[in-house]
Amino acid sequence: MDMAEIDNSLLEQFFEPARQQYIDDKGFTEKVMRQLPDRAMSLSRWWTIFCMVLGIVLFFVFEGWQPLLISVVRMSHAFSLNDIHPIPCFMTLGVLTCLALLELVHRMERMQV
Amino acid sequence: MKSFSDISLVAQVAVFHNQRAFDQLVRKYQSPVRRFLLNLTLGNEMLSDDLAQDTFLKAYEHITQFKGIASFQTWLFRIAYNVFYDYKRKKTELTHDQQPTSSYTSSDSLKMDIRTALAQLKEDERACVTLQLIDGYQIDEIANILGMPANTVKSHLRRGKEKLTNYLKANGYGGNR
Repeated sequence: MDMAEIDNSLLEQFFEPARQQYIDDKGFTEKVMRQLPDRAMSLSRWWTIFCMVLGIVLFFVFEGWQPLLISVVRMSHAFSLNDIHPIPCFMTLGVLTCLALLELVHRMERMQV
Repeated sequence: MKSFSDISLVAQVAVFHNQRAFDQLVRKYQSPVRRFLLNLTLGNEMLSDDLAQDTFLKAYEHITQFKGIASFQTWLFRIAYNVFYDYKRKKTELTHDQQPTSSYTSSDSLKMDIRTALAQLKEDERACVTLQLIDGYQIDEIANILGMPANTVKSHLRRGKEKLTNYLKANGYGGNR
């Protein structure tokens, strides 16, 4: 019984340096991260497609072309800042911003790959 | 707090596939996992790093299976041991791991002594001894990591420690020099 205690203290003392040992990363994490399967990418791609489809559906459901058309016609009749209604302009700006954001996300995804 | 932050990172990986969160987990646990595998492979750094990479890739693929009952490190160690065990099972010719190609600097001769001492043990004994004496795990945790009954772990530990003590005393440790 006494022998077991002596064994333990000897072993603990012997393995003490191993307990303190820290292995430096030295690019290990980066190597692992490069080999991860691309699930995040496919998920964001599906999310992008979903948003685009939703945007198109809503555009047709709420007849989004009407304010666009009206603003284009008005602009063609008389190009005066007073005649332009702000709502269609904001809508147009919103659609264009969405498209730009989608493109940006797409490019960032490609850069990550 | 430590386990809470781990669970938060794991949740981000599992739900949002947040690779930055996984990056943090790998950085945090690369050292204990690589050290564990390094001891199992008797200092074969190249092999242990390959196995450690497989461990983290498997952890990422199966992250939703982490239940949070044990700590994330315990869960990783369990995967690491399974990866090592699979490697050993598949390996038919054992030349690769019988000739350790450690790239550690030879100045650290005590590490070499530790590897030589661990080489006296059978694989299961080595795993048990390493987990208890180096990684500080309790018997039930070791049983959980290695997928063995606690009594089997106890007998591996007893045999392993006896062998090590005899080896160390025969080599001048413990005041018998």
